[in-house]
Amino acid sequence: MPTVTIEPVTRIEGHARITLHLTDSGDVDQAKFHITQFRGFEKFCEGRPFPEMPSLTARTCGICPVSHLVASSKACDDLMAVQIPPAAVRLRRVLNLAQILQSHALSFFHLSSPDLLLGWDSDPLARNVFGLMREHPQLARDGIRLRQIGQAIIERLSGKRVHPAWIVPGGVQSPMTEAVRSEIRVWLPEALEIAERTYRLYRGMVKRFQDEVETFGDMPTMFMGMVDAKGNLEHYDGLLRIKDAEGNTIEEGVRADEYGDVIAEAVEPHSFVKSPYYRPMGYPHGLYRVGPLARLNVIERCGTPIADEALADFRALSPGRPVSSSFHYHYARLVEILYVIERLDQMTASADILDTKVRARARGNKNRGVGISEAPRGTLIHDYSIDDEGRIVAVNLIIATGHNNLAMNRSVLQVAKHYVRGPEIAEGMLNRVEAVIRCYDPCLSCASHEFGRMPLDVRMIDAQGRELSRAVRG
Amino acid sequence: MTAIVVIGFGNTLRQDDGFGPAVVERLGDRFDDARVECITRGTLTPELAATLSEASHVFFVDACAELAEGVSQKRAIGPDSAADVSLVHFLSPQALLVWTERVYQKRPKAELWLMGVEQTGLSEELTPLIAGQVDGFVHELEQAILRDLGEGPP
Repeated sequence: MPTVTIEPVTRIEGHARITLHLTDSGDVDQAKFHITQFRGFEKFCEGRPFPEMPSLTARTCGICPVSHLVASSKACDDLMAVQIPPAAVRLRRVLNLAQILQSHALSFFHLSSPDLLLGWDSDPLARNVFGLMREHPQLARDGIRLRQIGQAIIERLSGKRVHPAWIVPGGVQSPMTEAVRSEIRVWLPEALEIAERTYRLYRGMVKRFQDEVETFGDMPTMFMGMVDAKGNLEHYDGLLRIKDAEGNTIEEGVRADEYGDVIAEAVEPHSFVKSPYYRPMGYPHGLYRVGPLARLNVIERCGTPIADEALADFRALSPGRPVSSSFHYHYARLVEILYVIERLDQMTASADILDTKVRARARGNKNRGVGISEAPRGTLIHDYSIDDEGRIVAVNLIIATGHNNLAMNRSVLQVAKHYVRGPEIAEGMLNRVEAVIRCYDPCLSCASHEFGRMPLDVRMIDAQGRELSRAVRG
Repeated sequence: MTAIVVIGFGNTLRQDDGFGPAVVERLGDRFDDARVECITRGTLTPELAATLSEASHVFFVDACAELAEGVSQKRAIGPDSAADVSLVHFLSPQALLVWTERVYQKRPKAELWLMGVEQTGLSEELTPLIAGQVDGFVHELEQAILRDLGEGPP
């Protein structure tokens, strides 16, 4: 087996490298997706007082700080052994939903729609948001507006749209005012109109992508996501459910503190991202997926009328079994956008949302606390251990992109085997490798959130380990 | 309609890089007028194009490592098609103006107000030299805005 030396020389966030290993006959044998950035949060948080953890870990990411705030604060609630006020739970839910709205809007409209609407083989110079504006001007404006609404909800509630410190251990800093509630409710009908318009457009065109559906990570895997007490879609506080590739429930009602019973983590020398796997099946066979596709595959219903109609359409893509192609993450994301807007409308309609009791206070009363939430990209786990003085002694973070690491590698291999022939790397192949990664919307911090030119370094390695060709972008 | 938008951007965790947000925060505290919107950001992102599309005049306030420390520069700018418009999490003012023009067919008058800085280490505090420039910038911005609104000396 040829070997490839991994040298993460650059620490610039978001750079990815892909290596393809060929057989003697020139066919693709292996493909690896390397995430070469290093963050180190699990180590440098050690020794800090646990109440600092939400603010510290929110800095993991400038794109989804709210997700880290939610999971981290839940872990701290657990350490304090408190039940936070119901209004605080509702407000955290609202903020988490707004985060999902803006993140999904970014993924679909800004990052993926140029490929989806203009085509992977179109002129790279035109395959960007400006090309999109020419061909689909309303969609371009809709993307900006939907993300703006999600960001504005975060800002109105928490004072900042990036790195807000409003969610804290024990609840939130301040209640929602009537003025903020009114403002949010003015935006929601417009958001729903945009989401429905986009969903109808995408549903009408998805059949065009049969080739990509069959090659972009179309594989049997398990799926994991959080569900509520009825088995419905839940992003803030529920229990984990895992289904197998046939749709059978193999784990049900997994509490946050039990995640280690079902998930273990492996480390590969080629990547700084861990490779979690389903513990009972071992590594690497215990491959599973998280995120919008997985969530829709594990739930009974969304629980809101418009999203449930869309869920029925989604399930018709693969009647009687889970939707298996990672290409359909895009579809799932649009269904979730509908759900999020409907839920925001339901939650802000109730006067309960204005309740002013929003924070419980306590010292650390346990030595271990675990918080789990559903971030836009999938299940997010924060696991902290503290000493008797409340100082952090151990941290384990499992983020959505980590959960999906094995699946992303498998997906890159599938695309490469389908499109790569011989040592030459064609532009169309590069585009599709990039696009299959985007299906997962991985958070390699910001660099994956570019459209048109994600930094990529693709190397073709022969059976003797010699580099046959290399294509670098970005 | 918002007539004037003032955007201060920079990293408030990196010492003097936070000059723009510091200026615009202070301006927002002192300037209460529905026709003026004061915005602070870590970076410029595409959603701001929607805000700019409703403005007649936009001021960008930023720190600049290319200028000598404490030296300011103010200049008119416009959409620059040579600017890198591809990054969706970080746009230059010129690239943001490109977005505004192409998505909304609007081209507000735009100015870039810069302050030369050198110290961009890890701190939420501006250095004394740069902190001492904030009030002057705020005052000049106030005067420029009042002139724009037809309420100040020409």
